[in-house]
Amino acid sequence: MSKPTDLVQGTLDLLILKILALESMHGWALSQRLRQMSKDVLQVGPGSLYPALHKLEQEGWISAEWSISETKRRVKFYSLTRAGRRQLQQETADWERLAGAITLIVRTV
Amino acid sequence: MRLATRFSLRFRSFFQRSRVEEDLDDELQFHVQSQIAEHIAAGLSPEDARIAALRAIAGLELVKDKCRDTRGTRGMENMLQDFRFAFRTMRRTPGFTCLAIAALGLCIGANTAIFTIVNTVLFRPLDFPQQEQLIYAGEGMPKMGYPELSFACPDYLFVASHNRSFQSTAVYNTGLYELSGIDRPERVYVARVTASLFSVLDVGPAVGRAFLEAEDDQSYKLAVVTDGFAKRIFGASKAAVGRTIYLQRKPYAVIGVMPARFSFPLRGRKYNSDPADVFIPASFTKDERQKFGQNYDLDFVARLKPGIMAPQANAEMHSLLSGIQALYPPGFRNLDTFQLTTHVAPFREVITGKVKQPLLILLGGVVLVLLIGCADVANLMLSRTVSRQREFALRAALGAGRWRLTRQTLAEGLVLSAAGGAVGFLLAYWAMPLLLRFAPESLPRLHEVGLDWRVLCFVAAVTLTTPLVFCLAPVIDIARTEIADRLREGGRTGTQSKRQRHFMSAAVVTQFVLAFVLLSGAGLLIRSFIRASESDPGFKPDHVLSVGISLPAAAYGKSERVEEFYREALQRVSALPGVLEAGGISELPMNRTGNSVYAVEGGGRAKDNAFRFYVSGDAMKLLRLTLVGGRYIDGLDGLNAPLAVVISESIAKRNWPGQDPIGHRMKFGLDEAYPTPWITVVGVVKDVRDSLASTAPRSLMFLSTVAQQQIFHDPTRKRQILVRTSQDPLMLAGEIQRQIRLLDPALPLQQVQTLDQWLGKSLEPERFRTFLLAAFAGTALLLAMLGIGGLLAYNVAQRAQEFGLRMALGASQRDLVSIVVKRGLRLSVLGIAVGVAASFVATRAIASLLYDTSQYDLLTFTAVPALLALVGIAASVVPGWRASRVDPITALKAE
Repeated sequence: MSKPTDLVQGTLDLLILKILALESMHGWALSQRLRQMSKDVLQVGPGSLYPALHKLEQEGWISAEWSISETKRRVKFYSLTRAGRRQLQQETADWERLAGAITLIVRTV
Repeated sequence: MRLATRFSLRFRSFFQRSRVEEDLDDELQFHVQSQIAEHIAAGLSPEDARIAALRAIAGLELVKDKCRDTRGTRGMENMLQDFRFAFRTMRRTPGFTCLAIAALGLCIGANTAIFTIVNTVLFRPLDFPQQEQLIYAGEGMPKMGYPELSFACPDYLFVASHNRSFQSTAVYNTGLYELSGIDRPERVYVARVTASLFSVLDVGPAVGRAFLEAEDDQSYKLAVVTDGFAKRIFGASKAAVGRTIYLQRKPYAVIGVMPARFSFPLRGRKYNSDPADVFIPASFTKDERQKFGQNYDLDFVARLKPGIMAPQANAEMHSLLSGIQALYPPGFRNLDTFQLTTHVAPFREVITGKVKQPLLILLGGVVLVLLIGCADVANLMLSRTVSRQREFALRAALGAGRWRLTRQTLAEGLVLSAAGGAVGFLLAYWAMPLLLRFAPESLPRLHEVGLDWRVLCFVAAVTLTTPLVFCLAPVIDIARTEIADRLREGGRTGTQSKRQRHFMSAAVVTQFVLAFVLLSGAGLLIRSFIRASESDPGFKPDHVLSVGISLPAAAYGKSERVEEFYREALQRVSALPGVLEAGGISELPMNRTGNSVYAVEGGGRAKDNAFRFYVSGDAMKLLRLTLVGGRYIDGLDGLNAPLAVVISESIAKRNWPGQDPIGHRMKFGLDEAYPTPWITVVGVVKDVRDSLASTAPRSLMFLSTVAQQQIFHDPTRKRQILVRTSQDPLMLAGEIQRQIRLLDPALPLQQVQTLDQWLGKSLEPERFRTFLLAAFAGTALLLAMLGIGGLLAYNVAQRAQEFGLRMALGASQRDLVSIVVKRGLRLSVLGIAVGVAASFVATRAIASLLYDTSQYDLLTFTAVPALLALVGIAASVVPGWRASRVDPITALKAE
């Protein structure tokens, strides 16, 4: 079973929202983009990615649309909703606060 | 907005499950394909790329499952799956399913039927607006021997004008009246009611109008009739208004017709409880209004003012009584036994008070039957759990937790009980009319019995709770079994654990205990019923026919005219072939009749009261009333004979203890000085109770009709003509009716019945409840037999290997049979032992219903254990026989 990829609990949601805020895309592209943007540090397996996507969809933060790929396959494209944008702001703020706090402690000699 | 999306997504995942699943599949497939494409681009062979991609996705199904979890419809889906699975399991074991559904259906059906009756009679509000405001009130003179009386007219008038508790008050009484002016004269129940009755009940006529207070007066002859009466006599309710009917040969104008559902008086009280066809104004005479201390024959019903409760009204009524008491004549007030009391109670309680206990006992009995049925189903389910050990182990291995297995069991239980509930409901629906035909006529609100929301709630509640009862054992079993144990045992065909064996034995013992309680209750009622019906009524009813006649005062005013009619009638009837004796009596000896206080010579003031019966001809001899001393009143006690009375034993004991009462004198009235003539006691007969099932002695006096005329100056217009015949008395019924019609063609056709029929009818309520409880006990016995038989048969199947081994080691067939029968007997004896103790406690509830039968009746408590032990043995013989037929080779090879 794939572990939560050593990501801090809940941060996967934030990353997905952030990436989708830039551009709508499907699951595979999203996993590639995550890897590229984190310079291969973060590798999210499908076992975590898809349940997370489905959860966000159920929450109404992202919405999905089906279209046909170049290889003539049905592809599910995810995009951010308005509620998702608000959630992203919220989670970004939370993350910055948390990261700041952790940095403060870690850097103290 | 977000909520709407969420809802639509859930809706989609639940109702378009296959679409959603397809989508999920496509989405993940696309991921895998992209991964493969990437691997190939990186230089891997297509085969290696596929393997690597699949490895990366690490269990496609698991990912899918995690995605499914996010949908939030998991619980509902699982539930559906549970039910689907339950259906499938049940279809695979039709024998088990049918047996369980049949047992549950029978039990739930019986419960539904009894609850339907109990609900209507006891729980449903009366069919009057704001019925909780209606109260009943009665009077009483306990020190004079009248603890409970209805109201007397002057007392009612005082309460009606002085009270502050009631919005309105009314009184009524009923009687059989002669109805003529139609094709064939008949006798109908007529209620004499004050005009206020309709406002007290808050129900008015559907057609026409009710009479007004001002018309409740001698000068108006008006009638309001029931819908049923109007349709029967006039064809339609609208056709009745404006017509004239003749009651006791006096014309009454019909001015209103009540709504179809209206029925009044309600049955339940001993008197004035026959539903009337016609309502006429009470029109109290001047005499009735002023004569205190006579005729307590009016039933009082009133509507409380809002906010006032029955106890407050009761308190006010008590204080009003002292006012009434002051109005009574001095003759009363000087008596030290004169003290008026009252009792005010909610109307509904008064109507249903007498049947409450028997009905609740029946309900309790039928619930016990349900519990026994549940124990059967529980054992069936447990035994199935054992044989499904492998399946459960497999499911546990695949990740089904205890909760999931428990839910699975409950779902199966719910499916069974729902099917049982449906079967039971239909059963009750069909059986109800039959049951009601057996119900005693005196059962209050019988015509109202029917389904309503309470019955539906009851059925739903029973259906939902029974699975909790019969799944309890299987569920505990699941909860207690470690999953690891399951897996370990899973390899073998299931064997019973110790706990399961204990559960099943306990269920069987419980069944025996409950069956014991029901059987002993039914046994006691049957014993009591037989005792009552065989008890000496104080006269000989066989071969006696009675014909009730009531001569209307309008046509038979004078006493001579009345006596002439009856003399002629008796002569004609006596002349019929087959008639041995004939006579007349004012009322059949167990019935209610006029009651008076009396004083005895040398005894000072009146201490007691007695029911008065008037006889003409040789009626007393004809009835074979048990003569203790002296002689009967007979045809010789005529106009010129001295006034004579025959008293019953309890009067003799009270007034002349240790003496011969014959030759002593008494008179009707409050004291020796009262202006009524002295009457000489000429004979003593045994007391006659008011019903075969009652134990209270009644004081009776028998006088000649001539003497009654001389003392009370009013002829006995209403009489029962009695004949004793040589063969079947009913064969003469038609001829007797014909002779009476020849005498007066205007007389309505009289009801003819044998005294045996009449006596049998008086035991109807006892017969009904005895029959029902016996039926429940029989069902309980059957279910208990099924329970113990099933358990033993199952045991034998379980232990086939062991039996085979025993046999191989030299056990005889008899040894094997005895092993099984002994186990059956052990369980039965344990159940019987506990059952005796439980019954001693439980039968206390019916002790007060028993006639001349001890709650610890020896015969009952010998027969029931014997019967149950016999059932225990009988039920274990078949499984025992099967045990002895086990083929050792097959049994040992089986695993």
